[in-house]
Amino acid sequence: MDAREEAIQRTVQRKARELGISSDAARRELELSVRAHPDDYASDPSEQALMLLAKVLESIEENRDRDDYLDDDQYRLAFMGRMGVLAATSEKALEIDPQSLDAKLLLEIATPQPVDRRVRSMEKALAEAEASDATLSYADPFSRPKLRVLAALARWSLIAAQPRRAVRTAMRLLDETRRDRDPLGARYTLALAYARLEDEPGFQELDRAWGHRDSAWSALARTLLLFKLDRMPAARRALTGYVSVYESGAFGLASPTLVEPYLPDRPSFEPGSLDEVVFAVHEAEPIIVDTPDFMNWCNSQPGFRESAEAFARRMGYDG
Amino acid sequence: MAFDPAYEDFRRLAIAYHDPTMDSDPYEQTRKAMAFSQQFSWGNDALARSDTDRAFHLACEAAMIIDEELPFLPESEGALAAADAQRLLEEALSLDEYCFDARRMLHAQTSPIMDDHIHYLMERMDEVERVCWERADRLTRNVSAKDPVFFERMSLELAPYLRWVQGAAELNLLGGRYRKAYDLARRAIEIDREDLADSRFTAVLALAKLGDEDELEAFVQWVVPELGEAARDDAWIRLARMALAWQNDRLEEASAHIDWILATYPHAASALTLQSELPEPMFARLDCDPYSNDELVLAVSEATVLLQECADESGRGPLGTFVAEHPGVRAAYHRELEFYGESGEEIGDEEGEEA
Repeated sequence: MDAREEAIQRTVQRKARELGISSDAARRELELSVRAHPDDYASDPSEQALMLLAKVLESIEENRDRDDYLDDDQYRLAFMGRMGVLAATSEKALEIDPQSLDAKLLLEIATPQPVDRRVRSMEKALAEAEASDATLSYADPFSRPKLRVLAALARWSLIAAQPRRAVRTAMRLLDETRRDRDPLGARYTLALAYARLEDEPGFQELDRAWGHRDSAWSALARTLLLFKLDRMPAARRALTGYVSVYESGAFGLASPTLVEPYLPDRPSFEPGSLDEVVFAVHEAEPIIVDTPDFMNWCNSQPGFRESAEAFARRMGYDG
Repeated sequence: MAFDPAYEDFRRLAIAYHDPTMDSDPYEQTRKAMAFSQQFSWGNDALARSDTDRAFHLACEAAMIIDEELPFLPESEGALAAADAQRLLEEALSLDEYCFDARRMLHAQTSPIMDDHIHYLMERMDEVERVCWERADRLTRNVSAKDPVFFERMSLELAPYLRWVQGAAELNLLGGRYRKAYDLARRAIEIDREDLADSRFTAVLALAKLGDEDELEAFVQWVVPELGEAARDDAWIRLARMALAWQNDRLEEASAHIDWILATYPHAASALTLQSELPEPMFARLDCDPYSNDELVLAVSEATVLLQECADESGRGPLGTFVAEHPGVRAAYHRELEFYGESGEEIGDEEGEEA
């Protein structure tokens, strides 16, 4: 989520309407001014709340760079500090704009609580916000908060042991954003949920629509699905495919990395990168844990460990 | 219901000692039956048996060591007992290579990786089916289907096959292969519509994991009418329905299932709060009285796959937390603790250890 950019877009839209600007050139001029001094132009509470969130998210991002120098206890404190600041700022943003879904979403993330409770309260907030609106579109900055909520709800449902709900929510998000090529990655969550539910027809339909080599999520989900259906030769081929397409694939699966909660979206990543693998493995974790022998099996497949070790050596990680 | 190794051992011998020519004299028949029972309980090792029955007897002894003694022994004695059990199983197989209970338990004892054991069971399932049916056919060839002996023989010869299939179903459930677990449980029920193996319990948990409410209700419609005396409401189906209602945001309905369990089983709140996971029995699902606390503890333990999914540091998953924090469960748990006084503290301590 680029909160600053979205706040600017909102301001530009509103200002253009107020000033009756219709030509592209005038609109570009306006955008340049807003971009240079967004705080001065953000007179609407929704824009002000969003700008406030933009600043806290940017500062969290900056501070993260220091984590590499911290030991575990210091890191835990730093993390809790970040979440505390985020919660306080989100509450402040809600005072400015009580309707802000982004502030509600970030507040839910920053508040320690069971994930199924988080799902329920955010579903309620979304339902209240939706009463007035019709269709959603990713291109429209006013729709985006709702789409982000849907994406978070789908991912949370998977870690709340509610894969059916994950399917329902991700499916809805995918329908809303298909024409924009699913920018929030609903299909990733959907693929994992299908694997968890052993829903082969559902998974195959997704595979047909988005291609066999769509993402690390789909490659992992395919391997898990086939393993769970006990089609071992096919599962073996799926694992081999995943490891050969993602050079960090085996490494990422064998040594899962700590991933902080997304704020609130999945961070962007280069296709095929270690980041992609890390996010996919992180999101697949509940399903991997639910399939106790899966990692044993991966480790015993020819070439899997070698591939993980080779990648670790190349990157200079400790064995 | 369920399988009790000692009782099945008794039934095998009783039918072997049963002499169809005496049917005409009820007095003599009763006297002989009494004498046999007495002999069985006093010194059943001394009774003459066929190699098959002897092998089964040894497998039962091993089963009782593995399922009833091992879990309670300290580690040092456990290793010895396990070695004893293994020797018994090997001896059983030397007498009867088709003593499938012995094969299954021996393989489980010697292969620590669950997936290997599952594949062992899957690969040999058809052979087990064939041999068990051949034996059942051979031993009932000249018996009228109306004769109680016919049914007794059939059920004794097919029991090892049922346990094989049900064991595979249970392991697939634990291993995260829910479709397979469900299919195997159905396979077991199709052989025995009265479901002596209680495979329907495994089936409903698997369907809850698959999140398939329609299939669950269709399955219940299919299985219950044929159960006969065993047909009853039980903790497994309630836990499965509760999990699905919870997933689909019907929290009141989920609560109603918990309330039913609280009202039906003694000391249910402790079982629902502690959510202990028992070791997987090797012979078959432990035999418990219907609606006893033991039965609930067993059902909750088998429902671990639902309760602990996505567990956090506490060891409970969101569903496990929902159950343990259900107001009715909390209130009843406090009452149970107070009722037990001193021993209540022990229950509390156990909870600490679980966490």
